[in-house]
Amino acid sequence: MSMIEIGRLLRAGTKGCVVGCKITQIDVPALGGMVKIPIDPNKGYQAYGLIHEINIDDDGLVRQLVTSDTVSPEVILDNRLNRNVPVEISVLFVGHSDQGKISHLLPPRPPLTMDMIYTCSQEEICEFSGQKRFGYFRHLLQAKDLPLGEVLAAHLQQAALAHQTCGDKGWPKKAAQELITLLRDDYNTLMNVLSALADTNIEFK
Amino acid sequence: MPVNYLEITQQIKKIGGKAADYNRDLDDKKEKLKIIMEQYSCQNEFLQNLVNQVLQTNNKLRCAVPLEESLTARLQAADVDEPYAILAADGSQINPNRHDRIPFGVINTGAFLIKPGQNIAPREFIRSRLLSYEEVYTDEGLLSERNVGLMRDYYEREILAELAQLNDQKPLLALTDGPLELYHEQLETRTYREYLAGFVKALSALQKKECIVAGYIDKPYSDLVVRLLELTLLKKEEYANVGKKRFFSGVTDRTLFDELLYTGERSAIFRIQSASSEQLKADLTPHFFYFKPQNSNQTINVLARVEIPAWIARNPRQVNLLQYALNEQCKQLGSKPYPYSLHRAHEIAVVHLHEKNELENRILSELQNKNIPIENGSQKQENKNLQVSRTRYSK
Repeated sequence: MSMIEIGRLLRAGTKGCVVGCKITQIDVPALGGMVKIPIDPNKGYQAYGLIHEINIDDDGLVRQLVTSDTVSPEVILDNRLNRNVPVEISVLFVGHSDQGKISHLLPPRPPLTMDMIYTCSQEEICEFSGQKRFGYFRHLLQAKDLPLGEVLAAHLQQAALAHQTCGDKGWPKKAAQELITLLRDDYNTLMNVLSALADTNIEFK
Repeated sequence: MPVNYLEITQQIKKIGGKAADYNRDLDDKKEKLKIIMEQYSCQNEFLQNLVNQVLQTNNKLRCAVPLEESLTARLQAADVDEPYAILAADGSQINPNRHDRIPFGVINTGAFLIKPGQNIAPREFIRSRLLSYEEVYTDEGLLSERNVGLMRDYYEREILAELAQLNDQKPLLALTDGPLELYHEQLETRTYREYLAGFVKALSALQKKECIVAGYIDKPYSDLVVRLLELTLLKKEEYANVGKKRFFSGVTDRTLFDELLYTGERSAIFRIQSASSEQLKADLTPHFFYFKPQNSNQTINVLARVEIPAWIARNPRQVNLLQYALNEQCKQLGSKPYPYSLHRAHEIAVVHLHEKNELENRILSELQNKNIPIENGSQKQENKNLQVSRTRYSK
């Protein structure tokens, strides 16, 4: 199983982390995408997360360059590849695995600086999100300041495709039902989430 | 104690009061200079002979010497179709400081290679050099800031010469920020002579590689052309005291050429006549021209002086490419025109305070591991390092 590296850890906490990656790696991570961070590969201990924010910062030189009438391709390449302004990807932890056993609890120990981050394969997405309960949804619903509807819609879209490949076409409906149950007392958020899901191409059969 | 703003404010008002008179005086001098410049604009041979005459009685003469182009020439660069590369270098330094716990010196040299128009990502290079005990503790005492600067200038040329050997792209421009000539006092010291020899060797290597070498000086304060024009007002018996009697002190070349040149244009090329430029002879003799880069900010005037060695000055094709390339580089930064490659070289080389502190800690750690006794910093510095901000017990 090949792993696609998307970057390295900049900083982390109990609930999430920020990953830095080069601009050339930006094609790989997407909003709502599921990622994994091997923390102790010898013991099979790794954290799982969902991407909820992708930031591309500027600095003084970039701000000056954008005011110019002509910026050459070489200068653009220089700023994307050479200058130390990485793309920052914010990841919300949604669970972990320890010696192959998946849990939707937060990782007991966060990863360390410079740990590598990888995208999850379709099999891994199916394995993580196909557990009996959708326990990991609570991390998303409890998080503040993230575009919940958009992240959930993007995640469900990616996971639905993975589950379809793995043979579980009913997964999206089960996930949507769980979300409705969890948000039954928060009408505004529920409507926001359902509205975002309606914009996806998921078939909720 | 904070600055006494009340006291300073009165002094600022006095300066403001005199500023108008000072500016009127400068404007008056500038108008007179423009007339003299126009008068001698096509008398290059006369001016060259005049400089030679003055030199016979005063070898400390410092001024510009015209070549073939008229003093008031304005030249646009022709478009360049051929691919070229630019190698820019800059240096940064940590000076040994007797107030620190351990005086140490660092020279950080950065270089940036860009190939305009070829859609290839530029490359960065860095050389970090911790000065040895012998370099820091010299026979004359602790290595001075002036000598660290001298070493830095040399290492900038050295990295250019080294990287030029590895690069096959031609033409190749080799740029540095600052004058081409190694202008430092104490010209007779052993340290200066050693680094001058290395400097000349590096420039010669660049010449052998057919590089277009140039030093870029932003907002120049020189008055080399003004001093040349002042010679026309001297009597023969005043030649020995040239430089002491000034007719147009305060007026810089910039005030003349700022009005003369339009965007993208360069001035005539001049040779630098000075005692220090005698150190660079023949093909390396420093020359210069003034250059007004393309500027998207119409509210400010930007003028630079570009210094080039003789072998470039006598090659019109290389001068044209240099002018064209500098203009294209300055365009990248829009309203703050400055060669992009030189700015990036500076970014690569610059040493920040936190890096200095980190290096100091690492050196101290190494010495402690070797059980070498370490002095304290000076009490003066220790007290300066005390926290200046205040803290409060409760929130």
